[in-house]
Amino acid sequence: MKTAVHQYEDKLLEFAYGELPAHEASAVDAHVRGCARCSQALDEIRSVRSAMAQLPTELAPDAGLESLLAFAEVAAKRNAEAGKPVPFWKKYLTPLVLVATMVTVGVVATQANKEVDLSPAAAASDKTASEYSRRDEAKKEAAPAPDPVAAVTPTPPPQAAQNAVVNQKAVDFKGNAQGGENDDSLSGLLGTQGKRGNLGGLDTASPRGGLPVTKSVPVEKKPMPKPQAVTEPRVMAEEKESLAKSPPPPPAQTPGAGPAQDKDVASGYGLSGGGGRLVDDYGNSSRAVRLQDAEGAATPSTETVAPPSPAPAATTAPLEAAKREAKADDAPVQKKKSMSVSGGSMGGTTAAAEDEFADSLDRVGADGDAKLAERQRAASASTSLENARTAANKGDRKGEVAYATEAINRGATGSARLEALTHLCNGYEALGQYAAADGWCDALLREFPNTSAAQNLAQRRANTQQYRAAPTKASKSKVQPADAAKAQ
Amino acid sequence: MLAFKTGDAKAFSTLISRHRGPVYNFILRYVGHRQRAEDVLQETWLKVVRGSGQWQPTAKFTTWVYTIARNLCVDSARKESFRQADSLDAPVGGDDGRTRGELVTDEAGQVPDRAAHNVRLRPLLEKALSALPDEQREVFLLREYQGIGFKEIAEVTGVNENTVKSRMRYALEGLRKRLGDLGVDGELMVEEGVASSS
Repeated sequence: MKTAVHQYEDKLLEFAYGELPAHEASAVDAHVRGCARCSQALDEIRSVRSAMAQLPTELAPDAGLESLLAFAEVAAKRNAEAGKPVPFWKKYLTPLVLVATMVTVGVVATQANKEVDLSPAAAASDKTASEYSRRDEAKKEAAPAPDPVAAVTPTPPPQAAQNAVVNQKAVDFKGNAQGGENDDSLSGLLGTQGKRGNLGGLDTASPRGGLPVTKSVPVEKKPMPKPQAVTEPRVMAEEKESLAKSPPPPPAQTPGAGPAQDKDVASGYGLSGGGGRLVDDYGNSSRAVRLQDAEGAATPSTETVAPPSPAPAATTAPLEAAKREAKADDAPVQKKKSMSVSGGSMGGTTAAAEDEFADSLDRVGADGDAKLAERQRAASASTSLENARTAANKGDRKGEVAYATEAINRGATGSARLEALTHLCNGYEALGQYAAADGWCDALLREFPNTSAAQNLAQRRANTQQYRAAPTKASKSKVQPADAAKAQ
Repeated sequence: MLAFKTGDAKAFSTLISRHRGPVYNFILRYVGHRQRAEDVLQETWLKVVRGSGQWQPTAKFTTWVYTIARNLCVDSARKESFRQADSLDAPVGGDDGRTRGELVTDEAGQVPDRAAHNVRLRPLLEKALSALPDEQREVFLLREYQGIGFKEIAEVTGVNENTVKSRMRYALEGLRKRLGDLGVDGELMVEEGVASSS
């Protein structure tokens, strides 16, 4: 087989195993029949195959067959699951959920950051600055308006205001000495109010003509554009808030009210003269003050006290002059010290009350809880309003005016403010101080035009104008002796 | 196999019943050791199951299965070359002195006269077969016992078809010589061939 060189020799293997095509197989078969060598080679192949075919076929063992089938069953299930087409919504559900979650978290985080930006420090600084700018604009734009309290107090000379800082200690001392002489109905109230800086000016602008005791003038050393710098931020913040809620200045300015008087009275009331703008911006300003109040618990920054008069345009110039004089002549006195002295001159329990009030504010505002402080202020305003109501029932018009003013300064809002304005309007009219009454009445008409109180006031004003016009006609008639004689 | 790939577990049972025996015989005659042959057989079918997901009908299933089995046999033979192992013709240790190959034959459960004939002839055949080189033996086993064509054997073994045919010729020539050396002459083979055919 090896030595034979034959053209069909290579085909014998395939022919022996039957892998040749039919025509080739027949050709090889024909050749093999005629070729002894090829026939011998084919016999050798077939003999070996026949011998090796004697090997028996072994049966495969069953060991491991069951586990193999179980494994195959699991694999079949896996293959079936893998073969199923994934639905579109399932394919993209997980990424969509992830994206939606991330967007939600981002939005929440952004809003949280915005809230963090409105922290007391940032908000107080921003809003206080804006409030100051608005107040400055209001000072420039506001027309001279009569101070409601200015009519009560005599007009001090301008020199007195300019020398207020110089005579601060002397005035305080005088206040102590003459504290018992203030036996009018406002004295006790003023004594308690002095610690708050709200009505201190009433006492200093007493009819006795004493030098006005101002808290604003000696404490003007501060970086803020406001005229006062105090070391007790919470009290001043409350004053600022009450200032923001104070009524707008009456549009007409009393001719006799000089700059010094405006300054003194305004300082006593703690009014900055924001006017109607501040009333309109009440929400923002009060919030800013509250925020600043909360901030003040941590940083005893210099804080501003509202300008003394609700007519800022009329008081700006003398105030600035007083500031310059105070800076030049005397060291600035801290607000707390000044208040305690003046308070002592008015009430005697002012210092204790002031400390109590400051402690309460510390408790309230130490953690920036401005809401609690606001509730306390609302409660105090309600108390003042109730006192004003009681005084009105007793016929004590001065007390009515004082308590109503106190309520206004303590930030009465809504119906309480309406009632306070009504008391002020009616009280000043009853006292015959029409100029002061006009300011509050105008505020009442402007802020609450649709209320019954405003309508009654309008009706009463119409009657009053007729009443006032009558004497004028009478005076004119006096010019004509003949008519007068006829009248007689 | 396509049915099993799509999740039909019964299709795999069909594959097992059809191919497990021939594959086992190929493995057993390749490695020459029953226990190792069983291990290789189990590993072969596990690979079939694991690879069922990626199986593509580009070739016959038998080609794929025997490729797996052949590779595993090669690996097993390499491992066995480093250890001492019993062969089919090694004494089992019993009193009768029979070899493992004789025990395998007995375990097949054949008729007594045929078993007696196998006891005389088949050890010689096993020796002649085991004497072939691995590349010739695998070609001979796949073609002679598994009925796989030369072209398919070429795919299983990874060589071309002519190489397979050449190895087949060498395998036949080697077996013929080995059987002659063992005393299995042509007459015996002819007698055996006549007996087996009858």
